[in-house]
Amino acid sequence: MDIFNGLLQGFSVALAGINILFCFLGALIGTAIGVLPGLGPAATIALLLPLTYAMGSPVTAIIMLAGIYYGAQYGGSTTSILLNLPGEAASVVTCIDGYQMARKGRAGVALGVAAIGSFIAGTAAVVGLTFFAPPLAKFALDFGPPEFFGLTSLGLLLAVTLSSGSITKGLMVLILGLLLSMVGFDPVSGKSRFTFGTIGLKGGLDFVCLAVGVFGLGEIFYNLESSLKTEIVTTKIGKVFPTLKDWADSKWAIYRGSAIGFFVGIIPGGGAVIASLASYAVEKKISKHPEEFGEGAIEGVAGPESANNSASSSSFIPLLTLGIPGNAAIAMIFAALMIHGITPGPFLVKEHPEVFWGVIASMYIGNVMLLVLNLPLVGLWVQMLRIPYGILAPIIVLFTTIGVYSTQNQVFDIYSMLFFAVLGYLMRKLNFDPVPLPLAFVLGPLVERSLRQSLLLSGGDLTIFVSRPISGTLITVFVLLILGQTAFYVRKKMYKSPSVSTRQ
Amino acid sequence: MKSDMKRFKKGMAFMLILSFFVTPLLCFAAKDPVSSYPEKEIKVIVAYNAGGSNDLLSRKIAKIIMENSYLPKPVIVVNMGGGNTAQGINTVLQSKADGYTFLFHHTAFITVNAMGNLDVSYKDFDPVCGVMDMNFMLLALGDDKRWANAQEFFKDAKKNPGKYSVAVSGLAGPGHFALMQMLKAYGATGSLKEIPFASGGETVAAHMGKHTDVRMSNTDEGGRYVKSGGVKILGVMSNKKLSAFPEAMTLQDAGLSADDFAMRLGYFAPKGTPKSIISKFAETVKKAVETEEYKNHANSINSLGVYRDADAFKKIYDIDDVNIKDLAKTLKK
Amino acid sequence: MKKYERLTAIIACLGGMMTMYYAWHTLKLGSIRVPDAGLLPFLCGVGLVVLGIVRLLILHWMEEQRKEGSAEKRLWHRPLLSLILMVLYGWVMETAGYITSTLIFMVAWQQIIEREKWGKTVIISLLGTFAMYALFVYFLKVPVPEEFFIG
Repeated sequence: MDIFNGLLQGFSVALAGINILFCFLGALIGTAIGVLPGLGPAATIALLLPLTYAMGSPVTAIIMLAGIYYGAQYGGSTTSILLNLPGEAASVVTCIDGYQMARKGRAGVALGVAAIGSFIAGTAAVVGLTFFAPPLAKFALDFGPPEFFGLTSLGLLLAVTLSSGSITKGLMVLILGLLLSMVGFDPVSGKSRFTFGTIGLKGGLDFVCLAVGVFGLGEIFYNLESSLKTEIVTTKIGKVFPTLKDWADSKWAIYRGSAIGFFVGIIPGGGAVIASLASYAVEKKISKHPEEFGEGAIEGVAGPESANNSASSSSFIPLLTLGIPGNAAIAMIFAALMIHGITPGPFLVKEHPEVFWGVIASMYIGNVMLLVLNLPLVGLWVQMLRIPYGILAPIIVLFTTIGVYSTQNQVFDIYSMLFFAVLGYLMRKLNFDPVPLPLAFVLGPLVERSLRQSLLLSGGDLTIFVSRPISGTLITVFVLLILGQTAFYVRKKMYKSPSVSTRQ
Repeated sequence: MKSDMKRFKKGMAFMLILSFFVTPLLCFAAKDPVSSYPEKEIKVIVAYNAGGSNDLLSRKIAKIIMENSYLPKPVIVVNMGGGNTAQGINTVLQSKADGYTFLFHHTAFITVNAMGNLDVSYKDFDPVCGVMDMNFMLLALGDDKRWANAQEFFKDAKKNPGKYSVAVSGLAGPGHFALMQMLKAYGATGSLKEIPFASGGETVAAHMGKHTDVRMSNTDEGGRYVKSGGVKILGVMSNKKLSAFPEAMTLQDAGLSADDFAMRLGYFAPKGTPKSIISKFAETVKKAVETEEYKNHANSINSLGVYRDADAFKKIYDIDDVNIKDLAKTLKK
Repeated sequence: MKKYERLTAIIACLGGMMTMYYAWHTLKLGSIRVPDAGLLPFLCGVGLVVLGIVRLLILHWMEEQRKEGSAEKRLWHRPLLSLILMVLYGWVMETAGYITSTLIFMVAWQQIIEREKWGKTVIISLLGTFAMYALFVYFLKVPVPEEFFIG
């Protein structure tokens, strides 16, 4: 069979000594990048692009870069769980339950489940990639502006429903996130918005500054208020590794997350973020103990982590089959291919099968390597939580500062990170759940762009959203979800109404 | 006490006499900055984040210069992508005009300024040289039987204004201006629905998914899809035939004449940089542009390396500036 | 606590109204046919105003919550101090260079925020700065501002 031939060829390439070495190197660098807040896979790959000039073989270069890319996903969950610091948008959801698990001394379990889930999901995605790449790619192309609007709006809705606390507060945070995402240059109208004349704001606010500021530094500010010399984990650290029971609890979440991530990840754009959101929402809805979510439910980590890993694998599909990069990091890998004179596109399989299959085969191997790399490190990371906060906090500040500076070489980024830190701190004090903020910030531009593009395409005709099959389905789901939530809410209020009305 | 004072005075006197002799020596020792240029590494600032096609070009040139040792000191490319090109540009604007900091940029310099999103203009800099022209083309899907070339397409569009949609990357970016210039040349201004996307990749996805009828791409991006099949060129926004795609219809083929439009990449220096230093750097870049390696790179992105010295570079920018400002008026309602 | 909640809701209302004005006046709303830059910001502004009003109503009708446990005193001057330190850190970095500013920052933090002994301060600061430099500047080649006494 053609596919097996290709795979065998791919494995023979991927297992060549030098390629294994660079696969490992990429996985290592990727994990380190993912752990360090600030530097993301896109920026790192961009920094290393000149190095690929020197590498003779394009396959080797791509294998390393791919390793960095999905390695970063593995590492990103580490800081989310341990420090409530999301490395990128797809890890925000992991913070919700992951960090709570860490505070309860279950950091090791959370990290272990995340690693195992990511491995299973990543491998499953690569299998899917192997067999279903072309038809799936076609499916991804069917997503035009109206479909993106439906999808990303759905993502926004999920972001609100997942936040703890009152819906009105969640909506306020969401809208704030949307407004923040509009700062800067607007590609659809060509105008600059909310810049108030400063150069720094003209480029828009950076996601990393937001995530690191609101979650990481905001948390540090809040913790500083208490005079006790604390550590992050106050209870005794229990079992470092997940037990069989943990496995039983989380395995279905992992399977579901893998499936969700695989399909959602193919769609260029918000892929991994929406995948993690959808997985969390699904797990919460299906769970027999939904009240645990937000307090450290293991499914809340297993599901989204698996989802974002399989999404990062399946996001290679549009690249390898159509030559369309789905996100910034993949765009860098695309550039690397171009440097070596390889044009990714529908003919990649025919013209350079060793690149196509070699990369796929290396992804299988890479996933194994990452599992082997990460599991032993779990014990090490957990020890990090024992460092006294007085030392850990300024170290985190140092890391985040340089990480944020490294993206664009401007000090303004440091100040904007501090702005977000204050924002995060105030939000915590006033009991606003910060989770919808980064999600709205990331999804906002997509929602707005796709809305305006759709309206331009249809000439102002709003029915464009419901007349097309895919977007129509998405809008229907959206409406159903709103109706369902409102009904649920109203029913809850009705139950409680006797106690409220006594006040009148 | 008194002896301390005496020693102090003696010391000062000694220093004074010493400096009398040493200072003139230092003046002679200090080399003439122009003839000894470069004495330290040269920084080239790119106003975009790493990885974009013009970033890669500047790195390529730097690599060629260093590999062939055209200059005794290294040339380093630094990315400053903030502020929608403003950060990189302003950094060079404010740096010393000593020839150790250059800006590598392209026609976006004019377009962003024309749209009012940038206070600085290329006129605030001293042009050094131009290295490449990147053209734009109108693309249709390979199996789209509706039009064979741009002439047919625009004829159809004029007959049915508002029916067809074109995907373009970046509103008011060079690609969009190229489109507007093309529409103007064919007399079809306003006949298309112009749908802006945030990146080249998105325009490709939208077009391939048949969400728009045609798209406007530069020769780097569009070219690779033409080569790999699936997309055909309706027409190029250029008067001369493109070396990479000689069969594509040019403006001349369609019997039209208009000013050429292309994305012109090159170097700028802070105002006041000594002319001899500028020409020294420009000569070096010229040598790099004439190498085989550069030609191959240009080929791979379907563009031509076009070297222009400072005056020629400024001239073409002035022409582009007038055209773009004119088109910008229609956008800025 | 309720006082702050009210304040937040009012700020949301005001912010929403300012956004609406800015969107309408400066950015222009455009039309459904050709939406312009201000459309979505305007809608967001509307949303904020509505939500602000809704919250004020809810707060009005809700029963008085029992007072937040004031068992643990919240020392808000500590985050404020650390914020000031961080701002200074960013500011000094451009002028004095990475290593210098990091050293100063670490020392200042240990001394002012944590009130560490001088001996421990010096060790932690030196080690921390060295580690950051080694990792980011040396290994990862991240460009950082140069020290003021170089070049």
